[in-house]
Amino acid sequence: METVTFLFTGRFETASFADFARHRAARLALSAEMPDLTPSRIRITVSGEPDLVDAFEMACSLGPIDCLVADVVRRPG
Amino acid sequence: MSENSNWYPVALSDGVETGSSSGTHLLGEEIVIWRDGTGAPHVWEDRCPHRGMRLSFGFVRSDRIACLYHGWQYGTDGRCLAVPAHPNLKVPPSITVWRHSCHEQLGMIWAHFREATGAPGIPVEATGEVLPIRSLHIDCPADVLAEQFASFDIAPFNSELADGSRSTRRDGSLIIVTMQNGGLSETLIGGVQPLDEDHSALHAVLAVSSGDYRGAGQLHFVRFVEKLRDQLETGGRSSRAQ
Repeated sequence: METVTFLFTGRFETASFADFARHRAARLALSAEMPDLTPSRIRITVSGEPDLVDAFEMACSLGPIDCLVADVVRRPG
Repeated sequence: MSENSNWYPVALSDGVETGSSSGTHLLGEEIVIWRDGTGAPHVWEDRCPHRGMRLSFGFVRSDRIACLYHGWQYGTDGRCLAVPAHPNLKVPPSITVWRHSCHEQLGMIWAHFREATGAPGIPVEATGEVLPIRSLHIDCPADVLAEQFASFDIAPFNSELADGSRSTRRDGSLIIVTMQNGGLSETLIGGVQPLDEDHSALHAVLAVSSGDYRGAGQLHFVRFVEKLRDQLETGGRSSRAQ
């Protein structure tokens, strides 16, 4: 089990990105919390299998079609 | 309501070989039809849960279908069984492809979007051997295709030659045309697959009481359905196939 907080920066339709991230997290059997959702930055904390946390990062680095992820910062916890 | 109401033919049986996959649409949804190593057919949503790649572009190995993109492998229950990039990962059951109910009979593979409790009904006219004719896509709505297929005129199913013994009826997605002559009963069946609102596919088979229709006989009907498609796509809906 690993817990990681991701900070995505870029241009976001927040509802769209949140739906996308929740769907991906559910698929990957991860718990996810999104305390920070703005049009320019989104913070998500996920917990689960380390390999699947990596897969979540990869999926969200692309994001839905109406969002543009410019950068991802990852830190433990 | 007919038991065939929610079942749709999506391929001819001989159109999907063992160990292969094929993509198509049903009611606007993308689906993959694949046969595992035992020959059993499966109809699933055509989307890998990983990155959304079409599974119909993937490959079948024994009882698994693998995505072409990153090789994620799915068993016949739809669950992901292996992720090649993470060989030690215990894959969670949430990574599962959406499956549709599937059945094979009458020389066709059938799909049902909801969970089906039974199987599509076999028309009582479909006695004897079932011979495949062909599948083809047609740029017209399913109802138009069904109407035109039901009103076709082609030997030996010509109404004037069958001495009034020709009958036509619709059962769900099937158009069933039976000709009785000289004690023989021959049935031409068209399975209509609505791809979306404006496009459809036809899966045609013959149910015959003798083997006389093999080879050249099948080719005769292949030419008929191709001509039917040409007429529908070029707007010649008032003319009849010969």
